[in-house]
Amino acid sequence: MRLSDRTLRRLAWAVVAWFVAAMGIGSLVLWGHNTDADGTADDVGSVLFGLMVTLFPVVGLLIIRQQPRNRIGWLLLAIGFAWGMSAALELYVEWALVLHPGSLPGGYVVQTVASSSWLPPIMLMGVYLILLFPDGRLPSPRWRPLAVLAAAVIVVGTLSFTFAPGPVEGEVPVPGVENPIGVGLLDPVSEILTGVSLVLIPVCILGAAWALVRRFRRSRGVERLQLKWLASAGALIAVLLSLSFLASIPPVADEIGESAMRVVDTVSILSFGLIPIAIGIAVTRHGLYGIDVIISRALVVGMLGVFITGVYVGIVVGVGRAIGERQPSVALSVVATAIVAVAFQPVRERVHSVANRLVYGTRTTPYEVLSDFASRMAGTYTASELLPQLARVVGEGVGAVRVEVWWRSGVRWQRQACWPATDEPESADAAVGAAGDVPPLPGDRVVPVRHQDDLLGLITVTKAAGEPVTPSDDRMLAAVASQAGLVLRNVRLIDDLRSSRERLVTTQDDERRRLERNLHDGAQQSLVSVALLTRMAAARASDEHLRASLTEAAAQLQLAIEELRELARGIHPAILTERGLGPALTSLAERSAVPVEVQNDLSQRLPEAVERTLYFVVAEALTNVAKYADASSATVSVTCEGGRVLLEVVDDGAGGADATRGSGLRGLADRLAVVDGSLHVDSPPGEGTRLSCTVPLTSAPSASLEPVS
Amino acid sequence: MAPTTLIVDDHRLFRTSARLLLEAEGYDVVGEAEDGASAVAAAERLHPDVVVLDVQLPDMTGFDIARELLERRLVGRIVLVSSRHASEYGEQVGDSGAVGFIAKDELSGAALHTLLGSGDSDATQ
Repeated sequence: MRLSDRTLRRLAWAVVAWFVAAMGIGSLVLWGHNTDADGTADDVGSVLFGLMVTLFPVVGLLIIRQQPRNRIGWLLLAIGFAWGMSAALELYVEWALVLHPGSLPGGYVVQTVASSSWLPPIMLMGVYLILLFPDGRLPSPRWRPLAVLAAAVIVVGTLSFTFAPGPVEGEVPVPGVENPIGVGLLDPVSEILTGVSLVLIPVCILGAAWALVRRFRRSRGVERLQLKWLASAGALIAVLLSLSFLASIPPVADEIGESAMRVVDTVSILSFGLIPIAIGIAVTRHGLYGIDVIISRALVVGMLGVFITGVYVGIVVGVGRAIGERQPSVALSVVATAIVAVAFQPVRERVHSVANRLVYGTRTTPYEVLSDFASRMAGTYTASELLPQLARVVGEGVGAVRVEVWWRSGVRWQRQACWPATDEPESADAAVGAAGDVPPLPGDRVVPVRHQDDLLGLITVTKAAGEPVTPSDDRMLAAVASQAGLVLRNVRLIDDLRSSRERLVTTQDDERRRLERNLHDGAQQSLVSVALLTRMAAARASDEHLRASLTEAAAQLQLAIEELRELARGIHPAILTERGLGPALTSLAERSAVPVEVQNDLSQRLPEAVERTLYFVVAEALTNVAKYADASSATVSVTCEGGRVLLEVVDDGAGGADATRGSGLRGLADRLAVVDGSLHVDSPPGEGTRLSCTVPLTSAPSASLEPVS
Repeated sequence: MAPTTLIVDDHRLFRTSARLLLEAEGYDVVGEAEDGASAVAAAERLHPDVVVLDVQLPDMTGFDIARELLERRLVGRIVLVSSRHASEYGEQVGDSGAVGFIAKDELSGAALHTLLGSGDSDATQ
């Protein structure tokens, strides 16, 4: 038979009604009659206990209203039903034996049954709820024996309590009445059965707790989140129970007094209510709250509480006893307070980091991620450095298995960075979309990075299979993305500047080469031909004056050709394009006014942009040597080591050159910056000038980002 | 007999002036070519004693043409010319197998003669 959802919900309501009726009527009727073992009234305690227990069926009902077939929901309701049953039995006993003796039959029988009625609900709460959470199934078939054992404890325990012969035991003191349903045959074994059952109860509970730990370890995704809720409630309860235990040991109990003990007890009993609350959240709305943050804060608060109590108790009670004081000493209290005050901050920090490590493991906390990101970004300006860092920060922050950073260029998306770094090419193209749309990329999350309304980039986050993106992950991603928007905008502007300077220099170089080519092919060729013809005409002219004129014309033409040739070479040396840097430098040295030695260790051609840049650096440097240095000789050396080209121009002149003055050196530095090179001028007065520059050979001149359209 | 000469240059004006100049000074200019391919073709046909060869041609460099012509023994000797200075080309001139280099504006029968030097007897065969 399959019950309809509607029927199931009604049934759940009925269970809660039963529980509330039994508990409520019981409390009302018994108010003022509740007595502890030592005879003191404990109405407040039992009402608080009742309220705490109420949370179980109520949360069960809330779950069943949403998910009528949720096994945990029904388990919670079963707990409510069992406690209701227990309350009803006790009510009957009180009514029949104390309030209106003789008005109801079978008071002693019921009392015998009631005396063990706490066993089923305790086992349901302590064993089955923990063993079956969160999906209502055993973690694995290997745990079946535990479930069977717990069932056996319930059955055997209840039976042996109920049918044990001898005096009736129970809440109501009824000395001398024999158990009316006691079975004489059980006499030899009933005590053993009862004792074994009592021992097996904590064993089963510990077993269930161990099952929870095992389940948590191998859990993934939603299940892990759900378990975290229960685990954090459990941890908090454990802390409170420890405090309660601490408060109950005699010297401490003496010091803190009866009422304080009661408060601690009450709080620790009430804290069991956290279990159904945590279960309710875990089952119905685990996606809504950041459990990690709650756990870490709860851990901090709990550990600090233990610390403060420990210090206080240790000093005031421990030391007080040791020096023989009977009453709490004010001086010791002051000392304890002072120690707590001084140690509080360092301990808090330590506890905080321990809590973070417990919750986040090797992951960085969201706060650390953000501050780390901010400080990294402060020192980074190029996309090729920044984007991989962004990917790494995000990856470590959310514990992802893969993070990609995509960049928009025009209407195309390009992957610019990957974390962890892989061998696959860093760049990949993705689907085209309208400029403002987020394209469908693979990943658990695709987070847009915007600056104002401009969609600059995307961060895709992929977590391990089954590992969900938590609400706190989402908040962190949003925070990183909003910081990244501004920073990446700046990076893009800087990159635009870089690439436009690069374009300017390249264009200028191309233009120079074209100009040289035109001079060479045009004017120079014509002048040369005319010079040849003029000279020939001069040789043949018979007229003396004519010959003189033609000879003079040929000489002037010759001068013009020389000048033009020098001009063309200054604009762009053909030898550089055709023969490379070494020969071009030699040619440059040959024409220098100061003797120049060239030491060239290059064995291969360099990238064109680098050759041009270094050539012009040397040309400018040698011009300066000839003009200002008053040098007798100079040396130009080029070497290549460790993926870098090192170039030096050294003279033995007057020194005192100022790199910041004059446009020549500044222009060289700008040119060098285009190829990621650097320029250094060392020129102490009287000791010559050493100009050195370095250019990396591997530089793909920055991950060039297209300008924002 | 005057040495047969092939002039290779992509500038018509230069070819014309060089022809006039060299013919005036006793060379027998048997042909002109404006690029590497036609230079090779002309050499195959004419087997000139001397080639006046421009370094920079539209399809290939004078150095490469020189090597090919000499390897295939199509010509006697080669003199490279350019409107640029020799230093712009470094050791390429020597490597090409040409007997020498003359800046275009210094071209003359005498300069050519100096370069060809002792080989003159070959050239006049």
